[in-house]
Amino acid sequence: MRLRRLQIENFRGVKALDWRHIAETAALVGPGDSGKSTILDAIERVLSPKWNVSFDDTDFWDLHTEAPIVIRATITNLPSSFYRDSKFGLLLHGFDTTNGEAVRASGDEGEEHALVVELRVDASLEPVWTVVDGDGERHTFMARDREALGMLRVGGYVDHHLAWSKGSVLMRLTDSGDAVGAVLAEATRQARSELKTDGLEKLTAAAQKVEALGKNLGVAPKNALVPHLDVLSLSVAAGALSLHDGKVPTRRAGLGTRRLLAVAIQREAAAQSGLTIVDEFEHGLEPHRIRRLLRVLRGRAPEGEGLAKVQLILTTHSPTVLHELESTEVAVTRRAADGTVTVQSLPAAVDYILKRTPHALLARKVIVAEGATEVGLCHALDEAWTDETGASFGYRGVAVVDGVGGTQPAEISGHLASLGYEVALLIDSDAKAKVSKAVGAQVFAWPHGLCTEQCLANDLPAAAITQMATVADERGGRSVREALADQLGASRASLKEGDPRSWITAKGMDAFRKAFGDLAKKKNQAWFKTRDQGAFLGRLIAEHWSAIANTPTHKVIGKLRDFTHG
Amino acid sequence: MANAAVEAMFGSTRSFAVAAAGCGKTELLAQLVADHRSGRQLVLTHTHAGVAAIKKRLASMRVPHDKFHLDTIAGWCLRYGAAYPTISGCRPGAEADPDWTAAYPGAEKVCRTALGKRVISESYNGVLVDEYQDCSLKQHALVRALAECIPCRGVGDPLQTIFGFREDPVVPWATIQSDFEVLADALTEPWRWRREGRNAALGEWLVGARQQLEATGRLVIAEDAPITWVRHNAAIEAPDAWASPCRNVNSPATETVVAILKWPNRCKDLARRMGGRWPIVERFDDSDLLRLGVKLVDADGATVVESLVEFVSERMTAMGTALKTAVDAIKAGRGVSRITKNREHANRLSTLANVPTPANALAWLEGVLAHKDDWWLYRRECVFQLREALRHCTGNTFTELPDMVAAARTRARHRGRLTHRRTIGTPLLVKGLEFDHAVLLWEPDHLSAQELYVALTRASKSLTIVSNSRTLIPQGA
Repeated sequence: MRLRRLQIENFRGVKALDWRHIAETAALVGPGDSGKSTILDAIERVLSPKWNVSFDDTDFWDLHTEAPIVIRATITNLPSSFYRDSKFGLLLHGFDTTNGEAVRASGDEGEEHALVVELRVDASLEPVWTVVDGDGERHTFMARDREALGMLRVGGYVDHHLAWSKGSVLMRLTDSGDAVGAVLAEATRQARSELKTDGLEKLTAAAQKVEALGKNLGVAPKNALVPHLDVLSLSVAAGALSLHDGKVPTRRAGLGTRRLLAVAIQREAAAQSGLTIVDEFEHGLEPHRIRRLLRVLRGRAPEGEGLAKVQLILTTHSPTVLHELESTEVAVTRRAADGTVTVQSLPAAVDYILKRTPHALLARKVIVAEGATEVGLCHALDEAWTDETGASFGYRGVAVVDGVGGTQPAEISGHLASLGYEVALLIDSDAKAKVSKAVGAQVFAWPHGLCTEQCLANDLPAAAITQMATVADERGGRSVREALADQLGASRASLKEGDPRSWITAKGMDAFRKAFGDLAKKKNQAWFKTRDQGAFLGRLIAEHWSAIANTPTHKVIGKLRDFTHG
Repeated sequence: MANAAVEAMFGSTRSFAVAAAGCGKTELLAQLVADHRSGRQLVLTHTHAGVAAIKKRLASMRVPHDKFHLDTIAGWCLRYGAAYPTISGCRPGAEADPDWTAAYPGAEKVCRTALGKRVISESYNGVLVDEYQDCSLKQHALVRALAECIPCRGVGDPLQTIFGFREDPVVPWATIQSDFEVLADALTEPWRWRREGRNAALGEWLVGARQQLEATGRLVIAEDAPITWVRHNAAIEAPDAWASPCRNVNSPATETVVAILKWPNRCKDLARRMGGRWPIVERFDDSDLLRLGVKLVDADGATVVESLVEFVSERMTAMGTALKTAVDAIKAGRGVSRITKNREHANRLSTLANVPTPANALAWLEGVLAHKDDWWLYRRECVFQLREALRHCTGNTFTELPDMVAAARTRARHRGRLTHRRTIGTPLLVKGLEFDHAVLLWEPDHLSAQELYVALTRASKSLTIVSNSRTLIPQGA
């Protein structure tokens, strides 16, 4: 079974959703409260083999029980038994891969066949599962039909699946449910025959009392009354048989191990088809197990080679998970103010974000920074503003991405903005930037074609300039002094080692600011081109914030602050 | 015997058993379905009566329900065609009055697609078709499409083929012979007549009669034949004489009698002569009733009265004449107050003319049906369908009537033919029905060999043949 399209109306936080083109593997990412878990809940409920799924008023969007909850799943790769005309053989649709929707069947060779399954809950809170045919008519879709779909939810609680209980994947893996019943009945009988009644003096005394009372009333038991186990009430019910690691039930194992086991059993039970939905895929798993599990489930070599693929729909907050996936496998979830939720796959063009800075995809707001300097600068500002306001970027869902210069920062910004992220682009305003590509992003650029270092050299107060010069001196030593002297048009001797003040007094402060900034921009003088150095600059800005009021630096960084803290 | 036939049928994936009348055709079908080798079978037949008969036999043999799906060919095709209208071209939602001739090619188209083949092979392990000789060319084409996915077996009898009047002709015997492996003498033992209380000698005689018809194309009734032969020359003697052999059938009140004639008009004539006490076996789908339903929708009061009386009087003795004065008065716009004969019926007609509603029409019809001294209803099916349709109309106009007529007809089709102890019918209409006694009213050159064979094999206890000669030469022989 493959889920190809999911439509939701009025379910919890989702007023409306139409998710088409669901990939074989789909990782739902998006800020908290964007509807990811609701989507997994919806899939589970519409395809669940349980017949007693309960709903209450809080399951309705905005508690409006007058508008019914409708969850509709379009599925393909159906179990063979579904093709029977007594099942759904006469209720099938064709599947249009271009629009990702069920259409009237054409009967053509190679056509994919789809079944539209709907779960509807109205104010009576009674869930009704149906199959919707080409004429829009509804037909009953029973729990045992849903069981044939092989859907497994691996949530926080998987212990149920590690025992031979009703609807568990282990039960599905076992050919005959009757065999389980026979084993349990036999176990119960043995328990009964091995119970030693002579160890139960206290109970025996009570039994004798009853026997005496009975005799008074004319009740004469054939044998003496004794306490014993009643097979019926001794409910070694289904579920009592469970997987054990030696003598220890597997439910005592770590969460990650239990989840892996549940997934493994389900893969085997589902054989050719099946859908696994996993909450917080990374939960309880080390990065290497995450990678391995992802490869196995997606049938990727070498670990998953030759294994049947199952469809996998998961939510994640882990860069490790994202790093393993293709861009088409990442589904970005967004909720609009009116409750409409959209799910979009990443365009292939942003594959490199996935590979390099997957964490950005997990944020609400993204700062795309020109390069390492700007990334460091942002991090330092984050620290300073956190001290001041108590709210970090992390708290506010802000991620900082290294755009690695050239046209890339603008392009990344545009793509991220189109996926619904709030994006700020922090760049130099030179011609290379191609700001026009950053559609939908806020662009914060230094004025007059200046780079970060130039702008700061212009605007920061004298004390800060001295600190910058000191750092440059430490990093570059003599070559820095000589290059600066040449830039200033001063004698190389006038710039003394270990005394940056002397560099400033050589030709005066204004000349130094310009020469220092211009020189810092050059490739061979990359004094501030690392994250650490960028962070140093960021700390200077924060430290001298009030002193640089009304400068271009203040203006640009002020806007950035409005973006992150707004 | 039947076991040999079962084995022979499993010998091929396209086998066909020829089954003489009363020789265990239904039993063979049931055994084929019950056999563990057959898996789940699609069992198709032509009529709802056929479905009911097979269902009853399967139930008596305790064949599990998941071993078969039993349906009429038409019903099954309609279901498949309607499920995939873009493939079949069938109009959706046409179930009340479906276009049958379009349903067969529609379902065939579905069965020929990749989707249809998948559905067929997942649903059935084989298809069994009953009364194959009655399949039309379109139905035969559908069966061939099914045979591409699953084993296909047929049972039937070329000597019971009766050509109905339809646009879709019956599949020729030669086509069946080339498309199937035909087991010519699969079922020849006259089991029906050997049962307790039946006429075993008649059964043996019918085996010989079949051989005569097949070999010589004619039937010579020997002096010692276990039947009653009555000489009567229809060409020169009054048809009134036909009534007496019918009356002369010596049968207890619990037994059934049928008189068989070639033409519907002759049936009506005989029915009138029998005073309406021998109703005619009728088709379910008489188009007269549908036409009446449509006609009444926009008709004025006088037209409603005239059409309704005309329709019912064609099915009743004497009533049309008895109420003619009243109808003429209403048509001329005169009152009926001066009419004294059949006064209450005339008054109801007058009410209906003034206020033409289904309720008033029903009141008149029920009045006429309750009045049994002067007239008899001899064609019941459509009149009862009309009464049922009128009862289901809720409004004050006849707008709903066509739909209600269609619904009443569908219910009637499922309920089966109305049976009466003594009936009159043509070979086409009595085909598939069984009676205790039969009277064949023979006219030279009227019946085909097939019609003759069907007529001969209807009765299990006694057969009377009324003819001008002991040699019966069928039409075209």
